[in-house]
Amino acid sequence: MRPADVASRVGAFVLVAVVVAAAVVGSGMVASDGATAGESFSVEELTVDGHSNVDAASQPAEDGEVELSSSTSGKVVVVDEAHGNGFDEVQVRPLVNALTENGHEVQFYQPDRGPSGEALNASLRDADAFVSLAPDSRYTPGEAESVEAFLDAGGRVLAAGEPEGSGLGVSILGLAMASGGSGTTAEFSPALSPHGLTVGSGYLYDMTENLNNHANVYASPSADSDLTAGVGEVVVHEATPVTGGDVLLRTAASSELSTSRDAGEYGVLTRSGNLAVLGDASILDPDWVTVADNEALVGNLLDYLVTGDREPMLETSGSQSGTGPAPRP
Amino acid sequence: MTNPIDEHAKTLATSWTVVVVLAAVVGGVGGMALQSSSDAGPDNTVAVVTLDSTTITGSTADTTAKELRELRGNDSVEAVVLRVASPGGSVSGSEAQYRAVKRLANEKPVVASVRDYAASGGYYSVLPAEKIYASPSSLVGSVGVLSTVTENERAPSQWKSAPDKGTAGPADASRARAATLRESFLSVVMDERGDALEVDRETVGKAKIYAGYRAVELGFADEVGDLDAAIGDAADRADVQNYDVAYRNPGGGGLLSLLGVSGHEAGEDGETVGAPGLCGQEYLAYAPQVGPDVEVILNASC
Repeated sequence: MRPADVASRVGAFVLVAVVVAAAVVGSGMVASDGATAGESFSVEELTVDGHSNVDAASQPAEDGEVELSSSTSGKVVVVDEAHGNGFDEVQVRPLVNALTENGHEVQFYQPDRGPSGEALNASLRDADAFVSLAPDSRYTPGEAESVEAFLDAGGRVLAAGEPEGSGLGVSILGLAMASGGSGTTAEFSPALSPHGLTVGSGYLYDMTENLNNHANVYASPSADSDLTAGVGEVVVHEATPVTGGDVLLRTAASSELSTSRDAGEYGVLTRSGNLAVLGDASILDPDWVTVADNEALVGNLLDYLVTGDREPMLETSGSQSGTGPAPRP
Repeated sequence: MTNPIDEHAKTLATSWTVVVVLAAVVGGVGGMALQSSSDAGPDNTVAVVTLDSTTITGSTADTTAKELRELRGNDSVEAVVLRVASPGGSVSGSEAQYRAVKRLANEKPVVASVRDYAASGGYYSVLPAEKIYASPSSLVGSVGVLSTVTENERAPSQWKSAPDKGTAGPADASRARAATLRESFLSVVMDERGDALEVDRETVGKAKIYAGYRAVELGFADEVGDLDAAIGDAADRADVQNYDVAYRNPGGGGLLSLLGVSGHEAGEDGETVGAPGLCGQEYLAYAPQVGPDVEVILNASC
């Protein structure tokens, strides 16, 4: 073989060997050791107390039912459904069922859906009680007059609200909310302000004592009254505080208001004469009505609605009262 | 007269085919030897593992856990720095990452370095680190759980076998589960950071998020510092002076999560399919104020 042939073969040998070696290294064809193959090392037992020794939160016991103790019957309760109220019929079913089972009649005030846009004063003319849950549009002055006339005539009113931004609406009786004086006087509903009642804007929470969530707050009676008879402790869900009148239910001192973060014993139920204001409409909801002593409170509220001494109302002359509620500006 | 065998051997020796085959064999063997020697690598390596999943899911957590498992078994890796930039994600995925880090920290020094934020599940993941460095403007904290309560009647009654099948169950059951998960998260934080924290359990449970400097003051993190500080600290803890730094990013920035293709599959119509949509329940260790505004579809706990 000629020297040139030998040289060419040696060169080819070296070239091929280098290329193949580079390919093997680059492709990582060989696992370097058992570790990177991920198969050969032992697994030590891992104990994390926070994962294995946590007390599981339990669902609240839900028992009891809403019962009325009054012996009255045939009372008419009108439920507001004309102000964008943040509830559906399922949510007020406990209220409706308890009243109708005890011989009372429940009507819904819904001028937008009625045959002739029936106004509030006309709806209340034959009513014994009026319930407004989480309205989302402002009451007109005429409607507020109707409410006031209804109260003057001995009608019973229950207003229950939710804090702004919650799922159930923003206000009580069409009030824009005020908290700690942060709201303006103009935002207060004429239906509540004559009675010195106010409601807050934020929601109440309690980081230390609550029912599985900071916004599920315990409240207990702060005064003896028919509305709190038999009530030891209730649970309100995203409640807003109420002030003025006779405050009948208060939260624990560890509760705080979301807007101010101030801790204190906040009122969630107050009453002034024939007007009761509840800071939590969801307490009437099937999800909440039998939690803690909520059913006792709701039973008392319904008794309150059907035990008034209603007199015939005078005709109101306010033209706005016949046109239904105006939308919130 | 020449011997036919010799003549044949001579032919073979000068054959191009034989030369190439032999060269390939020699090259292959040599390459393997070279690779083995390079895999042994430098004895002292500090691995920097980036945990920047924008939405931690069970799937991304598995990928991270696999990476950390490999580092545990790699003798050349002396210490690990976790470079975290995550707002969290699912509770279960965050727990899985925490446990993977915990196992690693039981065997090798682990130091964390907060890049943008270590919030909620992102913070959860690095709790076992021996030291947490936070840049002054990073965000740290948000120890809490998000959950949604959906309607119990979501699954059609005609094909579900029981009232709670395919649903989140009653709302109060969902709240109880969320409360339990929150308590577990809080317990882990207090166990891991309790000695360093300047605030009590109740304050931690308020789920606030803090700027890095404030987080250090309150004990959610240990020192204001950058990645290099964390790397140097990790090397010191491993007692190595001369070391290489190897960077790994098992999550790849979480882009797959953002695209919604991680942890679940897409149906032909593009809608997500699988258990999460049926269960209607998500439990998140997630800080939406710092994370991307994306719809999170994660593991279901029903």
